[in-house]
Amino acid sequence: MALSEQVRLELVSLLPRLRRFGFALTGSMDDGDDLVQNACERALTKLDTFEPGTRLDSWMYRIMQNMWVDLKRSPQSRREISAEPADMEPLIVGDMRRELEGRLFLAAVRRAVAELPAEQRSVLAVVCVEGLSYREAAAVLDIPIGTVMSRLSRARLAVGQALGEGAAAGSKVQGRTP
Amino acid sequence: MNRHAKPWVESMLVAYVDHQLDPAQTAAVDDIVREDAEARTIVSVLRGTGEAVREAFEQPLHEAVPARLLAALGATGAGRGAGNIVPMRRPARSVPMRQLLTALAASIAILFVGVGVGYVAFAPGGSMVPAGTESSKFEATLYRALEREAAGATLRYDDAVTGTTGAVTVAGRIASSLGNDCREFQHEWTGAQGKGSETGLACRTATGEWSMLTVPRGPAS
Repeated sequence: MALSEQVRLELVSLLPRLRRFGFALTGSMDDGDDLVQNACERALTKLDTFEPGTRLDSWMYRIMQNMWVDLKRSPQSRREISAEPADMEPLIVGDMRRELEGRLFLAAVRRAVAELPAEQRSVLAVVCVEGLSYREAAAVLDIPIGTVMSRLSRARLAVGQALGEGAAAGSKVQGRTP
Repeated sequence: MNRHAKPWVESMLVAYVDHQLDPAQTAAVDDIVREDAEARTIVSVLRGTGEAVREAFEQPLHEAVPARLLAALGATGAGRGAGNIVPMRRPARSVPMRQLLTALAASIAILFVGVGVGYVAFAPGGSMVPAGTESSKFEATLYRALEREAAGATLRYDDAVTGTTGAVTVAGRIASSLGNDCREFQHEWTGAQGKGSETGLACRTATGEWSMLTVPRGPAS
């Protein structure tokens, strides 16, 4: 099999994780998928720059991260990030309440992440969501390991603080008076 | 927070939590965490938020990859590529959600809110209604039902603007780990795009608003 064909198939198998990474970076499944799609298209045009034997996932994370940074720089990119649950599957009735509470909580976590500065969100996405080591994360994001550590601790404490501040921030039923 | 002469910094603790320290460093932080209550609490928050963030974005792993992404990689043929990507089964959570929530809530309460202060764990965004029911009538009806109606009461609405009709039934108040004043509700609707139903949980926030999550049940058909 030609190398490029092999890489392409490997990319297909990476898609679920790339989508997760895109979701975490952008805060939205749709925006994340747009990012994955653009990154895949770009990756196919520069397959020759991929070094065989290195991690394809890290290479893709890096492409996505760079595209996302570019996108964030463009003025019309500012879009409200939704913290709604993407999940629409039917629930087991007996576990409904617990499940709902869990989802409320995870929606709050997504909102807290969405409110972080972009560079902190990127570190969370590669380390907490994608499980890269600090060294790998530093390479993907092109920052020193010490910066990975400080951004990561700040980001996680900020998420904790946002959760602790609880219900105050902009969470209400729209049109609440008839 | 008044901090002086601490034997630790947060970035060291996060590396400890994420198993990124070498054995000697890990042993040193083990000692610190054993001695220092604040370090212990921060470790707990860092660990809990790390797990929570991972959980919060795992959805794409459990569903089929959209065709357009497969197409971008030239893997659209039936049985080829597309057929090979199946959603993973949702695995048993490594840490049960409730346990995660409780542990994290306790640590956050200590660190940011102060011991003994009640903790409300959520601030989800806005009103969440299923596609096709962006109806202000529904929202007003739901709000009225949550505020004023007894358990089991059903309120109906008819929204001429969106061409949607529906009914909201509220359950009694429940005390949940997310707040003391939560109510479950059922919403059934009929609109241009068909019928649908959803179950929701609404909890009153510290500011007196309702914060809610709805989960559609059954397809709109």
